[in-house]
Amino acid sequence: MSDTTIPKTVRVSRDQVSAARALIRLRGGVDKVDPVIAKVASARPGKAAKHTKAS
Amino acid sequence: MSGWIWLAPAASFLGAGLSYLGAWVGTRQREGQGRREEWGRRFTSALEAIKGEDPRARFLGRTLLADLASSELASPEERQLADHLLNEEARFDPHGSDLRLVLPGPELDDTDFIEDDDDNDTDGDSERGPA
Repeated sequence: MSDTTIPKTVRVSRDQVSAARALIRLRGGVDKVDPVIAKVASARPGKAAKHTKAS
Repeated sequence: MSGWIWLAPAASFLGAGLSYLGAWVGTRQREGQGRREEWGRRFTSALEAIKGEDPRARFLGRTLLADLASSELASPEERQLADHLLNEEARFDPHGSDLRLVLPGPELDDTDFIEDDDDNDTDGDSERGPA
């Protein structure tokens, strides 16, 4: 069994989103960062997402 | 013989030119040093802001850090430091998810990332990513 199984929905903090966006800014584009960082940077706001949370 | 007449003025002119060049280079060096010192102060401020309690200050600190690290005044080591810091912060937050072991792949594409709007989430329904 793998320890790195990703849940269907991952909650990230505002700080993580902010850091991911700053990293993209530093590197000069979303295509220059890891896909995980790109996903964090494009995280949807929590309140809207709570109603559509995947089971 | 008449050529010697020009020697003294030419030497004076050359000396003045060299003096001007030396002063110009000195001024440029001082300006560069001043800009670099100011850059260092701002870089330190950005790092301090990121450590702070205020979420707004942390956000501004990260933005400032990214801009400063992109500057021509930043050394490759400092750019690497900022890059590493932001990368680690994006992947791990005690109040968010630990994404350090997550690798890109089809599983990641199907995953929905949600920005937590409450740092003190107590309803217990959050999924915090892989341990």
